[in-house]
Amino acid sequence: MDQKMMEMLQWYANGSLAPDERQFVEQHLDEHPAYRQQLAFFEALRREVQRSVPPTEPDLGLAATLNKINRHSNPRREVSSEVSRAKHWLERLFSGDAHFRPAYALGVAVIATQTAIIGYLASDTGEPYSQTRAKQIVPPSIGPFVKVSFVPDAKETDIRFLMIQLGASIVGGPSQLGDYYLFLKPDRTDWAAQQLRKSPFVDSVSVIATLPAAKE
Amino acid sequence: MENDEAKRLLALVAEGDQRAFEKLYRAQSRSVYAYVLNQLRNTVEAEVVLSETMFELWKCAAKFKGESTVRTWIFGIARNKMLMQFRARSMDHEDVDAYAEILPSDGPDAIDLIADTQRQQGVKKCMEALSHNHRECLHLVFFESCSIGEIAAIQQVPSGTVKTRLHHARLKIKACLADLLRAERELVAGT
Repeated sequence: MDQKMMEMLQWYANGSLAPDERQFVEQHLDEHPAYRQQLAFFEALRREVQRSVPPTEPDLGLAATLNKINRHSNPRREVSSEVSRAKHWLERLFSGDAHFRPAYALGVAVIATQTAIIGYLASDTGEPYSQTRAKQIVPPSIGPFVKVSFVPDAKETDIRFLMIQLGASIVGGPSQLGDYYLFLKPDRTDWAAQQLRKSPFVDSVSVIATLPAAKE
Repeated sequence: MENDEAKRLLALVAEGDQRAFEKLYRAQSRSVYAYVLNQLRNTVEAEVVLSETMFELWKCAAKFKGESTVRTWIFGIARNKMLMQFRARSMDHEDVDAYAEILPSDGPDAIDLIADTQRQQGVKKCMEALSHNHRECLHLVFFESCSIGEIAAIQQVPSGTVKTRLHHARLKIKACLADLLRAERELVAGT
């Protein structure tokens, strides 16, 4: 079969051929009945394609699309409606509407309380917190004391933990050589010294009777 | 709707005329929906794509330069939306490429098959098994009565590619039908 004719038949079947081309095809069909079978195939296909599409309303999806368009065209409308609603609410609040009086009074009371608290906090000079939180330690005059030096890589957290575990207070130091002086209850001094010697963070430990004189 | 009338309405839509849009929508919705449904095969998704296509038309009406018909332009938008939908669901489809090997020419058997047995269900089944591009071509030819130039514009391929796609689609459908008939005959012979 002529390939060109085969191609033309499908355009003939869908009705998109120009009048002169249609005439050419019809003449060919008369002369060669074999092409009629091919045309029948295309017409069957056409019927089936037409039939495969379900009936639909022309308005299908129109409402949703129009909503989208309106939102797109007037993006401020929604915002402005919120603003006008808030404005209306405020107008009613201050216009003396009976329903709003308790709410108005409550709102004013809350604002007044908050203002008073903020004002008090702003004007309170108080005592200097830096000093109250770093009170000077007055070392006891009577020993014994524990003199301890820590290994160079001991961290502050390690030292603090040790003090808490032993119940010790640092009453002096660090000296130029890195010694600290600890005070404990007298009956716990020797025990604390033993514990310190076992610690990996401690370099040396000794129990002393008195603290060295403080340098003025 | 004639192309001139569609162009007139589109020009009004470009100026923000919502009534013109509604008129154009009603005139095109069935075609666009049918086209999209033919590919997506899901009524919900098809309605979504229809709505997105027409919304795009509203936004971009001013960009229409009249280089194609309004229908071709709208179908081009619908096709892009559809491709996005396909990507979103990365849909797999069954193709009947193998049939092209079985029946590589236009033999009379398949035509007789259609003419004599009126197996509409067979045609439907075989069409559904085609690839998207082949099914799209057949839809545009036999539902939309598009010309080859219009199909090429919608699918954004040369006319030669459209011809090739139609040729292969035809062969595949015939081969598929022949296969169905063979299976039926074997079933009858076995009983």
